[in-house]
Amino acid sequence: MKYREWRRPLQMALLGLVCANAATAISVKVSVTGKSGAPSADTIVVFDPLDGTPAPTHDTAVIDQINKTFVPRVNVMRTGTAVAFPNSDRIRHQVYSFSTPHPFTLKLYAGSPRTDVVFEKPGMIVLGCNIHDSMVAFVAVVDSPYFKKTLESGIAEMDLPPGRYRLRVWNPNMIMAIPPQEITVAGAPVAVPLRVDVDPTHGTDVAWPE
Amino acid sequence: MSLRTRIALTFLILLTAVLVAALTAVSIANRANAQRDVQRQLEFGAQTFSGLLKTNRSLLTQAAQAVADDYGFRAAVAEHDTETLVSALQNSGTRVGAAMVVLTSLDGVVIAASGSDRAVGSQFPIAALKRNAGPDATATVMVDNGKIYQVVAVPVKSPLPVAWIAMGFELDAAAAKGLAAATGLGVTLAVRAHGPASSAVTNDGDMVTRPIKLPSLDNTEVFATLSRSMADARAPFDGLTKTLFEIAGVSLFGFGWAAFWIARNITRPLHDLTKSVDLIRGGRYDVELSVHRRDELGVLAEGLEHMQTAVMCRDNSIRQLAYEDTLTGLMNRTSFGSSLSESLARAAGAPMAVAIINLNRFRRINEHLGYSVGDAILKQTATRLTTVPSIESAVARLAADQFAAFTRLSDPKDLQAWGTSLLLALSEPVFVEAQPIDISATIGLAVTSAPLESGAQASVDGAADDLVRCADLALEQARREKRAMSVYEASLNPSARDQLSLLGELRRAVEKDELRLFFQPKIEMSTNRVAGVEVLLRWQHPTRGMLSPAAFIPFAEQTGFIRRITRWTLSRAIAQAASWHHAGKALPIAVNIGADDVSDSRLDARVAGLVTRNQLPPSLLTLELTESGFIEDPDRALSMLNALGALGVNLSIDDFGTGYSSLSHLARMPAHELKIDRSFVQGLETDAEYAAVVRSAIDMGHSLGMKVVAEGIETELAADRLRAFGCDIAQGYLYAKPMPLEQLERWLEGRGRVPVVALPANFNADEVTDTVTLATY
Repeated sequence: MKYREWRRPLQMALLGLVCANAATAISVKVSVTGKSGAPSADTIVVFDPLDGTPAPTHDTAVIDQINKTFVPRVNVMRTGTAVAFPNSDRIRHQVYSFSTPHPFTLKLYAGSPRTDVVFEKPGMIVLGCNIHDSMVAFVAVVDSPYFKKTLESGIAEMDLPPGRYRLRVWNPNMIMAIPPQEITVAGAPVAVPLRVDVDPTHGTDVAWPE
Repeated sequence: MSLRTRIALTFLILLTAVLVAALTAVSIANRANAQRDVQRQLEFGAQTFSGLLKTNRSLLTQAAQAVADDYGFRAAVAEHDTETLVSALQNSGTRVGAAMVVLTSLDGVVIAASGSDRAVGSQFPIAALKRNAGPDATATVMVDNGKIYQVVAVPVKSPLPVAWIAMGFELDAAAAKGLAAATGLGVTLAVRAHGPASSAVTNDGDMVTRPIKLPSLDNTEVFATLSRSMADARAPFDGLTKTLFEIAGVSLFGFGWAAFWIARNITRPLHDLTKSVDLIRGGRYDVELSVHRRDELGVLAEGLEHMQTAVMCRDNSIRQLAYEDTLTGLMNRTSFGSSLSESLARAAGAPMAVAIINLNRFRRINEHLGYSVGDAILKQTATRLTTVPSIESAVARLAADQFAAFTRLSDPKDLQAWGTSLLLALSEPVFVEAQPIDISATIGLAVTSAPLESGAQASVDGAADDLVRCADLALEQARREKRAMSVYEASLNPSARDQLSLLGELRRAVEKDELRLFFQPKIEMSTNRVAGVEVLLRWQHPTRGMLSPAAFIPFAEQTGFIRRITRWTLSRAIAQAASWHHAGKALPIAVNIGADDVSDSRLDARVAGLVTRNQLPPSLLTLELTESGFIEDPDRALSMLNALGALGVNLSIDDFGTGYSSLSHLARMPAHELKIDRSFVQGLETDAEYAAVVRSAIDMGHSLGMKVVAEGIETELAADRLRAFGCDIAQGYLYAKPMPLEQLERWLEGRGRVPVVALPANFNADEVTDTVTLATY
């Protein structure tokens, strides 16, 4: 447990170091609003670099199971990330996924499983619990290191090196798919206002933009 | 229609009306009940039906869900392991008996199917089904390959929906049968291109149907039709109605019987009473009337019985009054006659004697000693007469002082002896209140002789009447001859038989105008002028020629027919006098009236009427009345004479000197004229005593203010003497005979009189016989 507490700030520090090192990083701010201008949180924003792929990393992530829900519900991570599935509930869960990039199942367990799950292939992995149908979590596995979930304010802000990017936006409750668009980052900070209509009651029927 | 039928019919009709109304009401109510029941059953059936479909649905849903939840199945779906999927679907379908299990993609493309002909890759209407997913969804049916399925769909989640499982039961004949069993109704499942617009209940003849439209996935319309037979629904009510009809029938029969019984109970006694009343009407008074009932009929019967007794009592007293003399208790005239007839019939030829007994001087006894004494005498007379020994006899009281008796004689010669014994019985004085009163009787006797003098006896009734009449005639004879007893003998009165037939002839004579008026002039002695005429009667008999009054007037007096004759005479005479008067000639006429006429209370009115109608001055009419006319009832005669005198009519006392009238009577009479009897006039010439009587009579008449007429003057000598005595008027053959009208007129002309006007009546003067001496009438 202690390991997890200190590892993530360390990673962020390292990332910041890399970006600082590039010295040419440009701030990109994506603000997502839904119907009637309300900010849309938990929307995945991914910038896929079109001019070469940065070196792979071996990230880690934690998807907890608290009170019969996956926390966080919406996840985005780079390929090769090892994800831990601790069970914080007093009941047991059986986490599984039939998603094509990485079908797996963690036999019924409580506490933390012995091994993490490493997602090697990009794509959308939908997590479920074989016992509790209501438990759903989304894990978007992308090759790009540039991704973010919007905050409560609907804003996802990051620094990108100049270049051309393909912008992908997805929300599990979005009503209409947003086609990926090319964004060129150069010189000045970029602000991308996006409109994504989200309805919490709307089922997930908009496919993850590959 | 008889009372019985009417009573019974009335009740029956009323009851029938009530029953018909009740049955109609029940029938209508039953029909409505049955209708309501059917409606309720159909509604309930519809609810049951939808409940069953819901149960089916949840069964299907659970089964489909079980499959969808199965991890292995989801793995197979994820891995597109079709064979495994098909087997899994088959397995789950078999478990619940689902005929169709289909796995489709989210877009409805069939991935795997079991029990359906759907090919993999074909389109399944999952979108429509999805809309009906959920717990409250209605049953959904679809038609697949001509078969009807109830289908549900559940998503396969891993964990997001990745596929759909559709599972369905086939709604086939077996299912309909199950539904029918559960609802108790007829269930028909049918696909229709265009079904009924509504799910309203329709009543197609006997069947009431309730279509239920099932939500279909496609355009087809699937109907489950619930039906119920009205006949079945009505069956229990029909049973009730039938029972009611049976009760109605039985009660009608019972009621009808009871009504007839009651009606009969009422009418039978009525009928009996009617019969009894008929018997009573027929004269029987011993009819048993009691019906032994306490109701109104009993009272009626009792009333009739009382009435019967009352009628019987009254009948007896009426009979008594009719056949019995109340004073003496003897038979009256009627029962005497019938009793005599019976005895005559029984006597069979044996001599039967009849006596008519008249008490002498009875009127005087009544007048002087009082009616109670008279009654006592009559009673004792009755007693004495009944004690006279005789064979098969009877005694009766015929009139006030007249009794009758009859007896059977062993020999006709005993008649005198029987009569004498009757007389002897009445010879002793009668004691009334210890006072001896002498009585005497006059008896007329008659006896039947064998053979009866009438030869063939027509009838015993006639014989009895004849016998009584003969005895009566004998009594008259005894009175005339002033003897105590007289026996009727046919030889003594040869005209008697003639007289019996005379009455009929006399009646005919008046009707056929056979009577004639003759006129005899009256001469005023001092001037020798005609003072008037006396009207006299003649009978122009068709076979016996002209008859004088002596031949028929006494008989007419006896029979009372004299009144009729007097009426005729008065009317003709007055008419004749009036015609003279109107012709300018005042010729007074005199008409004879008898004692019988004077007792006729209407005489004065009749005379007044005739005088008025003919416009004759009353002074030209003189009525001549014999002395005997007021001997019987002088007071009554006197009042009648006064009444006549008041009319202005002249009155004349006829045949003066022959009767027994007292001088006091004479003095009181309002007469204007006195006619001295011819016997005195004719004895005048030879008998000095007669002359003295005539002379004093004339003087008396004058002193009483009357004119004196002498009739029957035949010689000049008699006329001279009468003139010397001061007689006023003369009448007789010396001057003129009675003559018919034409002759009178010629006679009057001969004396220098103007002819008189003739009557229209046909007077035949040539046939007048002059031989007859003028009668006293």
